[in-house]
Amino acid sequence: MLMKPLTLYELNHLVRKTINNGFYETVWLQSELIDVRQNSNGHCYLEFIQKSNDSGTIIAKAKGQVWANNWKIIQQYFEKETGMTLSAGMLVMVEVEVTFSEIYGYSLSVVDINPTFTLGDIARRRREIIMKLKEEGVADMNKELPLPTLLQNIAVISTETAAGWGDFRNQLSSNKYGLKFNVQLFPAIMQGENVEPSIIQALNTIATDISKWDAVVIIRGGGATSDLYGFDSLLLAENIAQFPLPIITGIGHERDDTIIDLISHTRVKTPTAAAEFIIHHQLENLNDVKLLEERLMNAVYININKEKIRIDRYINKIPTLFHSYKTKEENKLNLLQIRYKTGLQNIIVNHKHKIALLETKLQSNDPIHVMKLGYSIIRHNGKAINDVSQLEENDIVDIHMAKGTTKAKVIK
Amino acid sequence: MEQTYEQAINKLEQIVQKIESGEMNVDDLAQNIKEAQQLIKFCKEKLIKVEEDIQNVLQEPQQ
Repeated sequence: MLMKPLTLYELNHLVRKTINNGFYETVWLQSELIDVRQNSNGHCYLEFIQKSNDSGTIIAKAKGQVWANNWKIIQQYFEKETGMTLSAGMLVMVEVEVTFSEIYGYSLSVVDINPTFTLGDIARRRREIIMKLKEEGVADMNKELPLPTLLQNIAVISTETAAGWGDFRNQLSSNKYGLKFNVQLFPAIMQGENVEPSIIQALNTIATDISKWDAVVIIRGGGATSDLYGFDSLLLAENIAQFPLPIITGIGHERDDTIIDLISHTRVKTPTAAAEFIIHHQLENLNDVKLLEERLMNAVYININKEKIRIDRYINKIPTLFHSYKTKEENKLNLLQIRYKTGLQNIIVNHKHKIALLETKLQSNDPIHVMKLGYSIIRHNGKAINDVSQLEENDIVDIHMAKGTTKAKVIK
Repeated sequence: MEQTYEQAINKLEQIVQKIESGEMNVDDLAQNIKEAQQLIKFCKEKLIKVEEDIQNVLQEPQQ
């Protein structure tokens, strides 16, 4: 006989009754969380999965929730015990009521949690990651990088709005030693599931201009305990360990270190402590520079003194040297003057001599001298006669003698 | 251009040599004597000036 078909409500109600009968007690469940979402009404909605051990494919999945009144207690308890917020990716052990609703279907309602199990799982995961890093031989790579003498150009990975980033910046810029720093933020998500890809991307950006930076600082938010789960990642750890610049972490967790704290070059507790570490490092170098400065000043002073003495020696030498040069030049000038005067005198004497000679010559040819010897000059009509044919019978001539003149008549 | 000490003394030397060689005629003498005297004066003054400059320069850093 054909049964009367059931309505959907009747079917779902039947399933509900069956489940309620099958699970009249709560069950402890051990599963991985894939989603944790707190609603505005205070309830927290979860999603559990199980992956196969070998292939990693999802073999079971269930929705769940923690009602607002329970969520407050569970959240506080879990955070107090683990120092972390419940988040996706965690392995948890929870006490659940298996429920079925005619409208919402199958779901697991969480009533209690065992934080120790999650802690154990995290510790196990960390151990595994560290072992893997050691096997790969990269665990100590960042630690072995030498810290540059100057830590001045700092690439910071943090969230722009994080209090820690502000603390770090203020601490660096307000240092009382007047040290100057070049700090640039490479924003990254610092909590939740996206920590890993986000920080790796920031590291890659820094690596594109690596020579600009002396070190990388990874810091995150303020005092509130929040989610550090994402920092325990093998891929992130590998990236940090093998990064070519020293990485300083100030993740800010009082309870224990994350994997990246363990493999980074230097680990400090807070962003402020990271800034202090850098300032302290610079200060040590500043003292070295000051010592060098003093040595330099001393060396300069000694050299200047040496040169002063040398210059003084020259100062004393130069006048003496110039004096002898001057004397030499003066002698040269005096000699020239003497030669010049002598030359002039010689010329005058020569000319005088020439004139005297000419005078003598002239004098020796003067007729007066001849006439004094008894010679006479005969002139006719004023013209001297040197040929007898120039004269006629009875010509009257003038006879000039050394002393006086007389007249005579020509007789032929 | 102002003449240098070296130029002046060389010129003086030339004039004296010319006088000594007897090549100089009497009419040129008057002109050359004037020039020679100017050159001698110039050279002597230049030497004195340089000596004074040296003294001044060397005294400066000690002041």
